[in-house]
Amino acid sequence: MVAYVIDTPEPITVLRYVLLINAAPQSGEAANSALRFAGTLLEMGHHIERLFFYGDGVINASNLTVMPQDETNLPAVWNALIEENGLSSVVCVSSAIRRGIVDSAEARRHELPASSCYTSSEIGGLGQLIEALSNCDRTLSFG
Amino acid sequence: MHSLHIIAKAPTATSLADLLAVIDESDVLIFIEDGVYFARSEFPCVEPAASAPYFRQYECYYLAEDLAARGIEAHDDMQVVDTRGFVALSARLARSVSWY
Amino acid sequence: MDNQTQTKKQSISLIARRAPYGSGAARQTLDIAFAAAVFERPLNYIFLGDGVYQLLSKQDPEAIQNKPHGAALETLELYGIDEVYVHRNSLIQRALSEDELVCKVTLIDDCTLKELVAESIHVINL
Repeated sequence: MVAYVIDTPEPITVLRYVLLINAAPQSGEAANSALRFAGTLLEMGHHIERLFFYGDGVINASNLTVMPQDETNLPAVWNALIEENGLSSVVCVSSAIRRGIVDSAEARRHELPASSCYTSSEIGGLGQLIEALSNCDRTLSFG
Repeated sequence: MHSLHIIAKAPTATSLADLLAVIDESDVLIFIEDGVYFARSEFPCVEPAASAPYFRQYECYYLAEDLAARGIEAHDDMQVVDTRGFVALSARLARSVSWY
Repeated sequence: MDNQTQTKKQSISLIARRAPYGSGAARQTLDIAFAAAVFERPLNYIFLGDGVYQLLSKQDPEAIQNKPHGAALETLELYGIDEVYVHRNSLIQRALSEDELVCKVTLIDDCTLKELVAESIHVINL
């Protein structure tokens, strides 16, 4: 286990996390659990090595979801968290294109009328999950 | 090094055979989402291994936010943590295994 | 990352716990295994519970517009994935035998399964 202690009055052991999100915002509580966990991790001073959206989880990167006013738009909150903290966020390409989640490059490549992925996330491959696993201390899956 | 098992489905939707094959006696369990219903699974219709008394042999935690959301009160001898506690557990244990 | 981190032994355990076709989990697990193999990461591929159904040899999902999952698992060895484990009790509970499976596997009991997990750095349980 690689961990290092940062030099603060109250030293904490900072760990690098990879979160694997495998459920759509609409399919249950899991995406919300993952989002709360991610926010709390950062508040507590830990590091998020990468968010990896897989399977139905790719819907969390959709910039086309619209929610009633009294409900949380989870993709918008993810987007804010990713942007504000400069997180690495990867959306699995093979899961994404099957579900209509495409960035402008994929939209062009497949001649689709619009892109649907927040630009704060990158459309990428499973290699980026494997790479992140090699560079982190903890992995948690939500689905 | 021990594992943190994250159980996110209700007792009737969790494969106990799978779970019990993997969890080790010194592992730690946290019940989240519908998993918090394990806190109150002392009913005859649930197979014995799915009941809260069975899991007392392990170090168990129940996620406060999910208990409150569902109107479930943990028994006095059950340990309840919020998401900060969940993060702390994930840092303490060497790895996590998610059950959903 | 410094060199020490890069050369650190990484061990991933994938637990395949769901039947094929009924959900995307079986395929998702396989895709992670292939990706790990391409990046030459050590990997345990563990079939547990309903996951053992993935290995049945007579799958023919053409009529349900699916690719045969068993046939894909047959290629694991070609990708250098040879740490393939099947939970013995999961087979027994489902009245299945080893000779109904598509590829050579190592049968394991609960004790070995717990050890494999305890020796892993990362566990993905789908």
